[in-house]
Amino acid sequence: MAYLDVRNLSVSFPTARGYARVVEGLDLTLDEGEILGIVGESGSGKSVSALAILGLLPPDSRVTADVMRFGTHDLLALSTRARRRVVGQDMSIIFQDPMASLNPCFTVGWQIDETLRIGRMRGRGRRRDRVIELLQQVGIPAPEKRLSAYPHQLSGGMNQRVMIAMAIARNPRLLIADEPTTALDVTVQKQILDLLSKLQRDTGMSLILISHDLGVLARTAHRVMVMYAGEGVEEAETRALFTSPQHPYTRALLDALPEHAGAHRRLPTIPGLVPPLGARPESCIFGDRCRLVAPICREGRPAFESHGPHRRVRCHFPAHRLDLREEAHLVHAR
Amino acid sequence: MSDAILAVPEKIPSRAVELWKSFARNRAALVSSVVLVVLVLLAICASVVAPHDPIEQFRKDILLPPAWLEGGKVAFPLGTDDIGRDILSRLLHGAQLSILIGIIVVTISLVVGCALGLVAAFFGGLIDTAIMRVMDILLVFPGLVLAVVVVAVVGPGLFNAMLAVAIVMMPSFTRLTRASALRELSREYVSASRSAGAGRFHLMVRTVFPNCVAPLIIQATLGFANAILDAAALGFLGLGAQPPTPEWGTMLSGSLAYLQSAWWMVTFPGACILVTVICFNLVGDGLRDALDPKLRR
Amino acid sequence: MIRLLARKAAIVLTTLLGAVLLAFSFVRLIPGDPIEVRYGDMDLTPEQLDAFRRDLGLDLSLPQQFLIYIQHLLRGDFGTSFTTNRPVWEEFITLLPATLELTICAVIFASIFGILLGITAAVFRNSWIDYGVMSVSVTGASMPVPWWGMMLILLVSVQLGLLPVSGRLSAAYYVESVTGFLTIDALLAKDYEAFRSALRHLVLPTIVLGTGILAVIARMTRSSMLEVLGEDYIRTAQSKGASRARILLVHALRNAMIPIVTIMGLQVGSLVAGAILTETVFSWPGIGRWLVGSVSTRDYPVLQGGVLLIGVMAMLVNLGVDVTYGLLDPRIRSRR
Repeated sequence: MAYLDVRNLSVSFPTARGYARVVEGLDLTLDEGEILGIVGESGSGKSVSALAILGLLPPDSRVTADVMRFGTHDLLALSTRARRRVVGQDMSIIFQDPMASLNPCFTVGWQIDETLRIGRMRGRGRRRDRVIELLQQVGIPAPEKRLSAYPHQLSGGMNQRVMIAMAIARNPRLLIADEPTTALDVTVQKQILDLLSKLQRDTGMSLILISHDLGVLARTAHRVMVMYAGEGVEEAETRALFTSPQHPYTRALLDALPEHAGAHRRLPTIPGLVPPLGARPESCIFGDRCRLVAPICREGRPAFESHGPHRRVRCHFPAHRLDLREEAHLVHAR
Repeated sequence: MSDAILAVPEKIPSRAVELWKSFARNRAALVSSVVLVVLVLLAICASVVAPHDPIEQFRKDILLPPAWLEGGKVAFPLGTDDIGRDILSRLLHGAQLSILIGIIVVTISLVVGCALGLVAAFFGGLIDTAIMRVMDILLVFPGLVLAVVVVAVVGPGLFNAMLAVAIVMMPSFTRLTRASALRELSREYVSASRSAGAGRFHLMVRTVFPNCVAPLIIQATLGFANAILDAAALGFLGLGAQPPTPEWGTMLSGSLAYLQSAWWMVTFPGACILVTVICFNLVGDGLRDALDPKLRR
Repeated sequence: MIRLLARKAAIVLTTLLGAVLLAFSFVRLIPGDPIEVRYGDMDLTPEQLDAFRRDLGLDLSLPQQFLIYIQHLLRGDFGTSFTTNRPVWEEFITLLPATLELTICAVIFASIFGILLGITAAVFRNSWIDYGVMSVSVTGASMPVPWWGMMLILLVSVQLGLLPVSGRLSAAYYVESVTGFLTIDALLAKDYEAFRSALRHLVLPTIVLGTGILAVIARMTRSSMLEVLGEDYIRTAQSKGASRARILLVHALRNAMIPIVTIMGLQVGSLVAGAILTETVFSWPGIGRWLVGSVSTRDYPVLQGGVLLIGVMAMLVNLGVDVTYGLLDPRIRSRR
């Protein structure tokens, strides 16, 4: 059984014109020790889904799901207080902008120490040793000296390492890294990704890596979920996804990768726009931008169907069944 | 650039409407402005509306309680004071004075403060430093202390009190004008009109100043509130308007001795000050929300 | 930090010089001859008046007088009161503790309740609690101090008879002055009855003086907390499993305090103004009443010295606020 099991997750936010759905019917599963990548453009609901699982969304947001289970905890049934304990203890998260995610008024030593204190670790000296050990683990040189540094005195990469140290301080079973490298220099990005994979291997925890950059996931993730406008559109093992993308959106994303485009060609883009908030069509969400669109696509939302092991696609015409589309056209023409 | 200038006349009405809409959405500010309009009307018609002359003494009716209490007379709806003057009439004429105080104080400090601020921003260098240093020094002294000093120099009295409060309020207008003028000066339209040959004075008054008006309007409205409060405080200390002038603060000062025996002498003038000041503050907040898009939510 | 302080000190010094010049010149601006004002009704010969003038150095040129004035100030000589013939400095230092005791109590009262109200309003944003707090805040900021004092006396002291009407201590007690703070002196003398009396006398003036600043602090706390609560590091604290109280009182408040302290520093002026009015209403024997009294008795040395001393105190408080500001915000502390 999957370690993290989320079924039919939906999230809406209040707007001036009622509630707007930003995540719709998302299914996520994750085994112990697995790295799941979630990819999608900004606004595709990947961060919101992560925050919903952790229960960190603002109180006026609406979160519903059929199942939201983590290990032995039924997250839907937990009280706020119990949820808070699970979130601090067994799941943790690091964010996109490490500088803004650390409190500017406290030293980094204090902030890591606080995580341990909230986790009821006794003994000032023991905690101090643990903080130093953590800083070493995330590759911060001269950790004793860094204890009394404030976030603004460290670089972005260093701050992200501090965030990681804080996140793994209580040996969580699941770490969610939400665009962990987006705000960092390219040279630092790889270091942080390598650090995350190493920590994952060493501790055997599960990792969800969220990124808008398929390239980032290609190196790290075991399995990838592609999200578009709040829905999961394709899920596959990383290699399978890259070698034979099934959903037209995934294919467009891969085509847009610079290494695929080559030096002489312009980067291909996807024509059209993501449907605006609060105006979700009843039909296929990608229909308006899809080159394969057929009348059946307008008749309702395609199911997230299984196509082989670890592979699900939300499309009437996945790449390996393009013949279906010919038929559909013939049927329609008749 | 020329497009923007041509577009302005068409934009003005729509902007005014938009401002009014966003101001009217703030119900507290709307109600307050209605109260203020009523107050101004009452103040203008004070001598018609008031049942008596504000300084006429009815020797037989000393310290009468308000009409609805035992011993009160309908002729004196809010009672009389220690020498038999009708409190309602005094309050109405006091409203006249308070509005006048607000207008005069704000006008003096606004005009002088803005002029100094503009000069400081435009000429910079030594002039700027000198003006701003003087303002800093004025700001070091707590407002009322400075006002007390000014009154000590020029002697107590209503006009002198207004002068004192105006001087105290001036630095905030100077700073505000200077800051917004400096901000505007760095904009492109200023260099554009400078290169078009606009003179310094023209630039100062015609080009830059109109763009600093919004924060000044807000500050001026809040300045009304402060002017009324400070003038009343001076009146209370015996350094402002002198008896028998029916100024609200001065009325408070005279009532301190009758605190235990005639509560109405204390309650009504103070309540008038409070309500008026609250209204000006709320209108000021409403204007700030409407005029300052940065703070709009 | 040190360089920051040095620059601050330079600004303070020039401002101080300006303040001295202002205090020096305003007495000379007063129409009429101070000697005439003081001795005019004593029927003295012009020669005797000239002698007094020479004693006070009033026969010298203005720049000379200014230099002499500064010399005197540096020696701690702020002149001698016309009415009591005591040195101004001595009177100031005797009355200062009364004002300080009142002001400190008012600031503590205003900070505690202002911050609590502001946090509550921020937490329950746009609820009736929020509107209630904001209404209280607007009313408090618009309150005419003397009237507020009189209304409280009317209600609490006259109608309900709960607290004394005026003064610092009931006439039944005598407390040896050590610090000048009656509450502390009473405790030092182990006179608990007197301590109770002093405290009871403090309650109403504290509320009256504190209300205005409370209103400002509550408003600032609310908006500052609202801003801080939207920051990323608050989400980080939540993800650590920190309790709600911990997030509000440690993570958010610590950051929100920076603008709150700034706004408190700007309240020094209104605090002094409030103290003058409060002392007058409650017959509180402090600096404010002393200063106002000197205007009506035309005691110019007191007025001159008092204004200068109050200005210097206000400046010192502002400097203190700047230092606190640096202590609160590590980003400022490490800036060169």
